[in-house]
This record gives sequence, C-alpha cells and structure tokens, in this order.
Amino acid sequence: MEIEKNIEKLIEEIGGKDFQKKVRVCYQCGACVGGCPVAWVNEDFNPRKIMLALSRGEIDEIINNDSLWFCSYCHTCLERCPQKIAVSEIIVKLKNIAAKVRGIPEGYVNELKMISRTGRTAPISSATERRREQLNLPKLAQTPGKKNIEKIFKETGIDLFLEK
Amino acid sequence: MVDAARHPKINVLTYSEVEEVSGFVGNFKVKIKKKPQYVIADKCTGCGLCVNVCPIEVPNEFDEGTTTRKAIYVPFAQAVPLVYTIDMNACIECYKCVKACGKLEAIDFSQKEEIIELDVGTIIVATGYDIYDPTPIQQYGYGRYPNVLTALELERLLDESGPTTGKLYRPSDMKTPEKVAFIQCVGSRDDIHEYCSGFCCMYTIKNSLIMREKYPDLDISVYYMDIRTPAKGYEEFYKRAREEGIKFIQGKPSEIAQDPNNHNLYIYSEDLAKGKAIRDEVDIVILSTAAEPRPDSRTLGSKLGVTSDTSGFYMESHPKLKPIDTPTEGVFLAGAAQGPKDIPYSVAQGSAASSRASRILSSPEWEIEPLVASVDADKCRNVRKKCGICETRCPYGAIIAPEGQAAYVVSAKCHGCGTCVADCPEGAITQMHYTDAQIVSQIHAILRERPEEKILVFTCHWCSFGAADTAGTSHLKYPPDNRIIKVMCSGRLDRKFIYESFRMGAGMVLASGCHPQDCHYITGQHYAERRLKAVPKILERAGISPERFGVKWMSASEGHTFSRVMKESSETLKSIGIERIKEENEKAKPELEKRIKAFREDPDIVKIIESDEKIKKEL
Repeated sequence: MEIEKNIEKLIEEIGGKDFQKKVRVCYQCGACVGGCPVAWVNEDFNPRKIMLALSRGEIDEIINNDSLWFCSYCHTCLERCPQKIAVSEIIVKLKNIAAKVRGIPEGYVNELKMISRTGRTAPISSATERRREQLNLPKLAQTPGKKNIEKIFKETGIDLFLEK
Repeated sequence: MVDAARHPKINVLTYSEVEEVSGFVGNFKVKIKKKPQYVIADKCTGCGLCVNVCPIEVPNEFDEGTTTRKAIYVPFAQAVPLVYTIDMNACIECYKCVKACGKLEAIDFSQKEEIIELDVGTIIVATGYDIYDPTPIQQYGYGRYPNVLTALELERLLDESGPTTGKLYRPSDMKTPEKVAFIQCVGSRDDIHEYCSGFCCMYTIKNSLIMREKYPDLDISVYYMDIRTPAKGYEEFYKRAREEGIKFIQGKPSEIAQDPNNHNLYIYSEDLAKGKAIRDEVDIVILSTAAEPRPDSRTLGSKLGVTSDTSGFYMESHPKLKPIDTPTEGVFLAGAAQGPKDIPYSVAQGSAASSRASRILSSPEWEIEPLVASVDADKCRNVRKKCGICETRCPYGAIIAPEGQAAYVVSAKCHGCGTCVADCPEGAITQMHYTDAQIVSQIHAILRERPEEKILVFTCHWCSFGAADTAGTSHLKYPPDNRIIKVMCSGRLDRKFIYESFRMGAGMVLASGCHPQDCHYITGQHYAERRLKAVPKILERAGISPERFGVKWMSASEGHTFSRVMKESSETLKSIGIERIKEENEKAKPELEKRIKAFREDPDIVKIIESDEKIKKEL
C-alpha cells in the first residue's frame, strides 16, 4: 500500500471541507471523556485531547498516536457534547487519514486476514465441530461468504492494507 | 414592596395581565385584566382562618412543589398586598372558607374579572425570567433520581422559612448528606440555550458557603466549565469559597448514575486538571439550570411592540449604547426580561429605565424629528384591494393599513427612515423634507453639467455619509469626481432615483448605507438591499455596463473604505471612458424613460424635468 505523504490532501479528501472548523467551537469541557468507556479504562485515550489537537491543526500528532485506534465508536461523546460536535465521526475520519499515512494497527491486519481467509473472525475448532455433531446441528461451511468478502475488501480498499 | 404599595402615587395591580396596548409615547392606553381573586381586598385582614378550614391541598409553587398549599392561599408570606386568592382550578366550592371568614364577609365567589383602562405616558417592561426544567437532560436523571435537585429547590431547603426550616435533607431518606456536588451550566452554553445565564456561578458559590456554615464537615464539590465572577467583589467571593475548602473540579459531567439501593449518585466526569476520567459518589446533586425567557414573553411583546431576540429575551435598541430603550419610543426594558442578569445589574437597569421614563414624563411636550411620512389617502391601493406593504416595512408600527381603508401614519411613532415611501407600489407615501421631488432636484442639479464624468453616490445619514465625513476629517485623499446625495436611510432609495440618474447622463451611480444588522432604523437597509437587487439586470437590459452601478455597505468609522471605493470607482469610470458612457446612456434612454414613468405623474418632479429640458434647449 502506498503511503500518502500529502496529509493536506488527505485531510481535504477524507475530512472534507471545514474539517478543522467544526471543532473550533469545542471549549474543552470534557463531557466526551466523562462518558467514554475507553477513557474510563485507558488513560492514554482521551477524545477531548484529540479535539484539542485537531482544532490547533496538530494532525501529525494525532495520527502518530496509536491510542487513536482505541475508539470503540460507541457515540457517547457525540451524544453528550454540549456543542453537538460529532466527535466519534471525526475520530473515524482521523483513523482513515492515519490508515493512509501509517497503515492500520497489526491487530486489525491479523483480524482482517482471518476474515479474508476463513470468512469468520475466529477459526472453528474441532471441539466445536464435534459438539455440533452431538447436538445434531448442521455442519458449518468452511469459508462462508468468501466471494462477497473478497468484493467488499476490494471495493473498500481494505485489501490494500493486507498486502505486505 | 410594602412601601411601594403604600405610596399615594403608586398603584399596585396584582393578579393582573396586560390585555392590550395602544397609542404612542406620552399617550399610551393600556387595557389591564384584573383576574378575580374571589376575595374582597378591602375586607380581607389576612387573618388566615379560611386556610385552616380549606380541605384542598395542591403543590406549592413557591416551594417548587416540595410542600403544599390550600386552594385559598397567599403566594408567600411577604406577599403584597396580603390578600388571599382562591385558585379556582383547585377549589371545590365547599364554602367552608366563607363560613370561617364569618362577619368579615371578605370572600365573594361572584367576583368577576375587571377590565381596567389606564392612560400612561411611558411603559417599563420588567417581567423577569423563568428557570429551565432539566427533565429533558436524561443523562442527569432529574425527575427520576430523587436526590438530584435544581438550585432553586435547594434555595427552598436552605431557607429557614422553607419546607425543612433551613435543614439540608436528602429527599430520598430525609438524612443529612455528607457529600454534595453542584453541576454548572445545565441547559446553558449548549444546544439548549447558547448563552451563559450569568448568575449561576455566584449563587452556587453563595449556596456552597451557606452549606459550609451550617455543616462544617460537609464535602462540597462544584463541577464547572468556567467560573464566571467578573463584577465587584465576585472574584474575592470565589477565593473565599476555595479557602473554605469547597472543591472546584473543572469538567462537565457526562452522566449521573444512581445506586438503586441507597439512591446515592455517581457522577461520571473528566477531571480536566488531572486529565483523566473520574467517578465521584455523592449523596445529593444540585443542578444550576439555565435562566429562560418567560413562556408568555412573546405574547406580551407583540402587545407592546417589543421584539425578542433569538434567545427569546426582549430586544434592546442597541446592545451597547441603548440597553434600556426599545424601538417603540416610550417603552423601556429593565432586568432579566432583557437578558439574564443578577441583582445589582437589574437594580441599575431599573434606575436607568425610570430615568429614561422620567425624561418623557417631566416635559409637557415631546419633540420628535419632523422627517415623518404621510399617506395620500386618494392614492392608497389598500382602499380598493388588500395591500398593506407599508405596514410590513415599518419596524415601529408607525404606519397602519386597516382593512378596506387607506393606510395612515401615526406621526409620533414614525422615525423617518422612508422605507415605506420607497416600497409603496402606488407612490402614495411621501416623507417630509425627503420628498421624491426634493431628491430628484438634487439629482438634476448635480448632473446638469458633464454628467458622464460624475459618480453619483447615494448615502445614508448614519453610516455611509458618516464614512464620507470620517474620510474627510482623516484627511484621506480620493478623486473629486463623486457627488453625494444624502437620505436618512438607504431604505428611502427608490429604484427610480437610480434610473433617473442614468437618464440624466450619470457616469456611475452608487447606492450605499449601513452594514446589515447595523441599520439605525433596524430593517431599512434590509429592504434597500432587497429592492436594489433587481437593478443590475434592468440596467443591463437597458444597455448600461454593470460596472457603472454598485451597492456598498459600510459603517460610519470606515473612512478608509469610503475613500477606497471612491478611488476604485473613479478608476473604473475613467477606464470605461466618456464616449462609451454617452453611447450607453443614449441607447438606454427609452428603457429608463419607461422605468421613471411614475415620476412624470408627480407635478413637482415634472416641473424640475421640464425646467431642465428648457435649459438644455437654450444651451
């Protein structure tokens, strides 16, 4: 996958017009952090700090921080923000920019490869197969939806991340 | 309040509402509906025997619903006048109160509402504010969690004459709490109300200090986004709170959860100073809720001719220079009705409003500028067919178009912008000292000689003419080929003035005035902009280059803008060249002639045009 060096271009393409502008109204109240299930367990992830960096144009800093990927996309921040900033949606856009610049985390790659190979997020164990037989359940397909998964991976550009 | 009620020259009408307001400054007629209290004020001694026997109990509004009152009641102990009222929504008419009242016979169920008509010279609107009910903010649990209260409910609890005689009890178990948290900005500075309510930081600090005094060991925290303590002594007050061990945690709580067993509350927030998410267990949470306009404020406003801003509070004439006045002369604002504010600010505004009102009341006559509009009833379209365009243009309600009748101007209300004059489709309205003929004669005088070398600039009195003045006093240089015609407001600019100017051979015409939202007459500029939008196309169709007409908005301080525009216009004029201008003007004459047809029906203008044509022939 080609690393996109022109971050300005990416910001405009993925973030859209006025990407940074919408965050300017953030007055750093921290309501997004107070309800964030991830921030609760991991001090490194802080949506407020991400918004602060974005409003100051410090996109490099955001992209180079691995904790960006911890966002679980639960939307609590978006719901609680008194300025109605779509924090979770902005984070997804930042993830997409980061993906083009640095690639995606190893864990994602492994998981996506598993899906690509087996059509499942986790392999079927022989113990599972035996148990199903005991319960008279039908046999599981070996690679369900393989064609569709291939198509999705191609159209969304995921397969580019799986090339190494 | 008692002094006010006792004063021989003050008439206090309680339990009353304004029904209708008519008239103008110095001569208002106000119709007031005095609702029936079913108690004769002169006979009631306030003894309260009726209350004892009344069988009906309803929530007490004054105690925020934490206690009850009877169907016959006084709103609070210090009410003025101390006369009982029967709430007919609650009363079952058992007449036990009548019996208890006995010989005094102060209760009268046959009482009807009274309409009182007053002649007043001035009106002050000091109708106050309302408090936001935070029930819709589900993540804070108000209304579901018994131990989440609003600040106003807390005030009642802390009041010695309140429902708990000043003791702080948790509603769920009536125990004294050990840990209290305040949450600021509930419904303020967000998507519910954009503004800051102004007084909540101070009352939270006040309530914290009162609690600290009653309960020295009470753990008190305040969750805030910003602490706003700008006025005299306020910052010192905040310091004292910190000295008394009240904790200030910067962070807007995301949600409050409740322990279902003991009804304790868990506040989930970020502690910004530490930069991490925290969970805080407390016994009782107090929400500092937003100040809101009263729900009936717009209704009352429309009766008074006072508009509300986007937040719903009454709009003052100018946020800095006229915070007490309204566009309706003689009607003034004071207090929270104009915007959330605290006691010192409200008191100051009350004094200011009285002073503004006294100016009017202290003289037998009130002077207004003579630049008022008047309607020629014979020309008015509204007589034959519903029109009323003039009425929609006036921000002062000075021109009225009653159904089937000619429109008429209430001169006392007319501020003289001329917008109705320019927008009347029949040309039925004139403005004294700024008649069409007077303006046309200026156009003709200016363009009599070498018109194609001139830039005719229409300016408004308050802004663009001020800008020209500022350019002059600042000694800014610009070419001398412009000539100014001043009107009071850009709203006065009839399109025909522009067409007549080109018909008379002008090289260039500019229309100018205040920036949008700055118009001295509130909406004049807005209608001018709308009206002038059509002009470029029409000029183009007539064959006049678009660069020869422009619309520029500027403020009185923008001397630089004015001189720059004059420079640029002069350069444009020169680049087009006299020959082309003469050609275009000649070609455009038939179309422009059509456009100014209405002028040829004005005898004063006809005189000017004919006299000029005569002079031309003689040359």
